[in-house]
Amino acid sequence: MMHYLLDGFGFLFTTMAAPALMAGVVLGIIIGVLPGLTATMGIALLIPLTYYVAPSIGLSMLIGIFAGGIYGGSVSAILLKTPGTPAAGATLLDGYPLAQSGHAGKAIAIATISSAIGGLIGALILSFLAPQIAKIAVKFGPPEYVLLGVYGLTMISYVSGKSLIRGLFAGCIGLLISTFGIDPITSVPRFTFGTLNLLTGFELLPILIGIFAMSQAVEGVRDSRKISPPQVKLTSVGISLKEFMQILPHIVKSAFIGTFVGAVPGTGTDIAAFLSYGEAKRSSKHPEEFGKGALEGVAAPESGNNACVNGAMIPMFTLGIPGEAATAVILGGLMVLGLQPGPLLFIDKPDVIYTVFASTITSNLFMLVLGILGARFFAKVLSLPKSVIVAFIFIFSVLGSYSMRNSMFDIIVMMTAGVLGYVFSVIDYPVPPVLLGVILGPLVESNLGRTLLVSDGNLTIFFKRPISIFFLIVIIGTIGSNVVKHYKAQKAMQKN
Amino acid sequence: MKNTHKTAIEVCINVLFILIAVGMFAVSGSYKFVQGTHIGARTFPILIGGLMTAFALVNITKALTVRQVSEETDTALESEEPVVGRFNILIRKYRVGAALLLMVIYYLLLAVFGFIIATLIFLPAMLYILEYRKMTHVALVTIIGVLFLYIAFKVLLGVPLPEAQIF
Repeated sequence: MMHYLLDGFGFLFTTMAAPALMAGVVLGIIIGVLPGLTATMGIALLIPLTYYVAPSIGLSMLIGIFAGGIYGGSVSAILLKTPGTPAAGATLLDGYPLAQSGHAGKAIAIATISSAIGGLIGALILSFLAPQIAKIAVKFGPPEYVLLGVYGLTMISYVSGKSLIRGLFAGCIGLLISTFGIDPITSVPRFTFGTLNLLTGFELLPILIGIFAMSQAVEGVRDSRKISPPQVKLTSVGISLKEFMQILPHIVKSAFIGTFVGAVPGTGTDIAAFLSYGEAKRSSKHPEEFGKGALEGVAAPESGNNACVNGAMIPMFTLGIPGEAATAVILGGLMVLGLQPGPLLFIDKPDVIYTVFASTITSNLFMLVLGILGARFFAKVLSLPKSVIVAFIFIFSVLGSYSMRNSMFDIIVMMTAGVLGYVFSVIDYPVPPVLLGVILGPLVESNLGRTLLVSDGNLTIFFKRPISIFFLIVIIGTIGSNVVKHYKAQKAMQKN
Repeated sequence: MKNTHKTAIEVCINVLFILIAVGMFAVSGSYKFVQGTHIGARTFPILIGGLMTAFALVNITKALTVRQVSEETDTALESEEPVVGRFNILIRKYRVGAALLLMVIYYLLLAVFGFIIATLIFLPAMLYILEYRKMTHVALVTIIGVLFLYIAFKVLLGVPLPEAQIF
């Protein structure tokens, strides 16, 4: 395994993968810095560009955007009191007070160093743990894949926000979209309505760009007249060795919390950040300083959320299960690049997977250097006219959806998905379940068909295999715990 | 947005997808099962369509019966800069609708004129909707933007751009 990882580093630094990774980190930070734009949107918009380069290079760029995007959110949280991404929500609690007291540069330095160290620890855990999980997952047969897909779909209940039923409804829309095209078992063209455009079903990329990028651009139009809060002036960026030693234990602890939280599908960087913040406050000798500019209050969430980025990639690469929106989009990117996510990726394409692992490790080093040296530049990004950015997101959405198969039909699909995504945001319906449905639909349908054909339609096959039984228990436990969670939340809301 | 509007949109969306599910049921009827089984091209769509219809009905019932609690947390203020002219007032009021309409027009322009001309028209129009109206800035952003996109996509990355399909 180690030699694969070393080969990965070799490929990274002898090809265009390293420049692509660096470009990804820079773009990710810029996207993360701008409030209203998320790493998920950035990845969705830039997947089409990766289609024209080798998969390792393209994926390195996407990894860079993800890591940079999550870190970039801290800059606006600190300087504007507006988190650039939800993951930076916890950072502003102490980052902004610290900036207000004239230490904006110190806050940025802590956020950068913590993000880099946290991300690095998470990336190392990913690189060494993922291959071990893949070794177990490679033994899966069709029944296990059905249940794995169903388990992935239960993630809908995690990403459903306030209403489980709305999430399930959105997930069904995704599953229904996935049924267009040739049936995987009988090879009958299904819902094609006589058009060649639908013979292979809806392309994933236009849907992905529509619901995550164009819908956000439309939201940008809606919010275009909102006044931004005044920006705090950036002072010199750096911290002393004493301050670094003070925050280091919190950075390391939060990195482990973040990686674990990320590895559990259905969580996310924002949860990792707040959990890390809470733990730092609980274990601090001066908890009363939290909320007033505590250095640990900036370090812990930033380490946690960037470690979570790598933790979230563990189930994605090993099982092909996206745990949250950004990894769902990267998973879509893998499929667009012709790679089938899951344990076989480790056997079929070890060069790609280990280059990606090398990229996750290296992206944090790039982030550290770029974040410290480029802090002033990234702070200036905040003054870019938002109108221009929104207008260009529309154009990128069109170009991205068109470019994959030079199809004007795909632009229509993207625009329809964009309108659906926007309407969903207006009525508080979650969008990520739609993507989960589109991605996991074919996996569940084809393996369900195969399983039932092999077992002559006998469903007891799912209870005869140990891994299947394990998945059944996990699925029932997941659904049960979420139903209870949603029920309790609704009761609490009704009481209030 | 007012809760009554949200409820109306929510009901419409759910009804729309119930209709889509019904349509899929109808079309699926013509697909045959694999001999001696209940597995075929219609199995999965019917299963999913049924579930979706059930969830949509729950959503509609909830939307119409449960009292909506306003959860507006976004307290950001909107610019109160005055706007002159009826057209501009309408654009400001219905900017989302205008932007979506412009996207449809952009699609048609792409089909007729190709990427460069369509984008030279689309970009200033979208900036107008977004109330970014300094003439020199708009002209610079448009020309530099189109040049950048053309060079980055077409020349450097070799990514195809939409071409005129009529002329």
